[in-house]
Amino acid sequence: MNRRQQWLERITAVAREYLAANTASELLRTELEGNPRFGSGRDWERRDGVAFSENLQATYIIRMYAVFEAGLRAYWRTHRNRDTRPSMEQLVRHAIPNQLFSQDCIDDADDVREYRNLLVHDIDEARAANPASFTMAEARRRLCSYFARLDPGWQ
Amino acid sequence: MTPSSEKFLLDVRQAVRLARQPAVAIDSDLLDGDRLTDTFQRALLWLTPKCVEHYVPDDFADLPKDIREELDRAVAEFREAAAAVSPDEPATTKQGERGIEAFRWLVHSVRHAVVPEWREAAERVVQEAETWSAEWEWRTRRDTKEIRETLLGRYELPQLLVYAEQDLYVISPIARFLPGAKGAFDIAIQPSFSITSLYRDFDDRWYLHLGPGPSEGHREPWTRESFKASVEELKAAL
Repeated sequence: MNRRQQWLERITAVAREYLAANTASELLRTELEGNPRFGSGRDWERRDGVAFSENLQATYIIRMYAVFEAGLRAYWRTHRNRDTRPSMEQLVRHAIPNQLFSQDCIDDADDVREYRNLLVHDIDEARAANPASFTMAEARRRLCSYFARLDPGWQ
Repeated sequence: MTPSSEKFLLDVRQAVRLARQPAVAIDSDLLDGDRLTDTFQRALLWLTPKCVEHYVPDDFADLPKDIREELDRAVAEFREAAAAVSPDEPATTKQGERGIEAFRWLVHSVRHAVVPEWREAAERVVQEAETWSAEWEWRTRRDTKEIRETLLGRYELPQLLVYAEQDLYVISPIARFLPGAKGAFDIAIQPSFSITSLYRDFDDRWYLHLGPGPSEGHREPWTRESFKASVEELKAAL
């Protein structure tokens, strides 16, 4: 398996892990409905459980983007043999794409970067600024579509 | 260097991206959807004469007369609608409505100008691949592929399956808008991750990117011989 595919696997592994976490979140919500003090013996309160559920998708989008960024930087360093560290915007928009990338593919991935930045700085602001924010599935689709256009000769 | 015609198209494309954000999703009875939509409409960031500042009518001189004239009128109307908005204040509802109407017409006219030309260019390249394949006694089969692009919406282009010496190759259109090119196809061998890019430069000529990887490869004009070279290169990568 080439390195591009390995990194794609890592990105999709985070997406699968989110599905598992989402199921756990549903179980927790059910548990809290019957027993609001379920977490008290474990040093957390009901509101912490609610926040966990509400922020779960944002948490995993941030994590998935971190894997995407690590993969892209590894590509830049080891396949393009560059020792520079451009910003992610520069990397995603200009430094890496060639004629294999459609402009929509580039914009789609960069939209996830912008959304992730909003999430990192202020989750509430991100929700207010973008009511139709990304689902985990959509973010994965966009990041994987971009990554899949990298050179498969990356070993 | 990006020609002015392409800069104009990219500016309109960027405006389409701005125009579709933010999507107003209302799922609460407590929020007034109409009021929110109105608020967002006032943030008509794309409603600016800059959107069409690179438009040069002569760049589109090769278009059929009716399409060229429609594009001219649409650009003029948009320019006028955008110029009516003060750069320091949000557009009024009336200005916004006029701007949205002019913008719809502009996008419609651009699609009329771009899609047929791009389809014709793509058709020519597929025909050449068919002709050359026949000369080497490779069987081919045509298919269609639906493409969706921000500026052009949904449209279909031909893609070609080539059975060459027991291997299957797919020549598949990717998009009209790409960095540094005005249209591209993938040439891929199945099953493999390897792809060769066939793209149209701003000089309207088609080129193949041959060789290992994006930094070490080189480009070759799209010819009968370079097509064969790309097929051989993909075969070697299997």
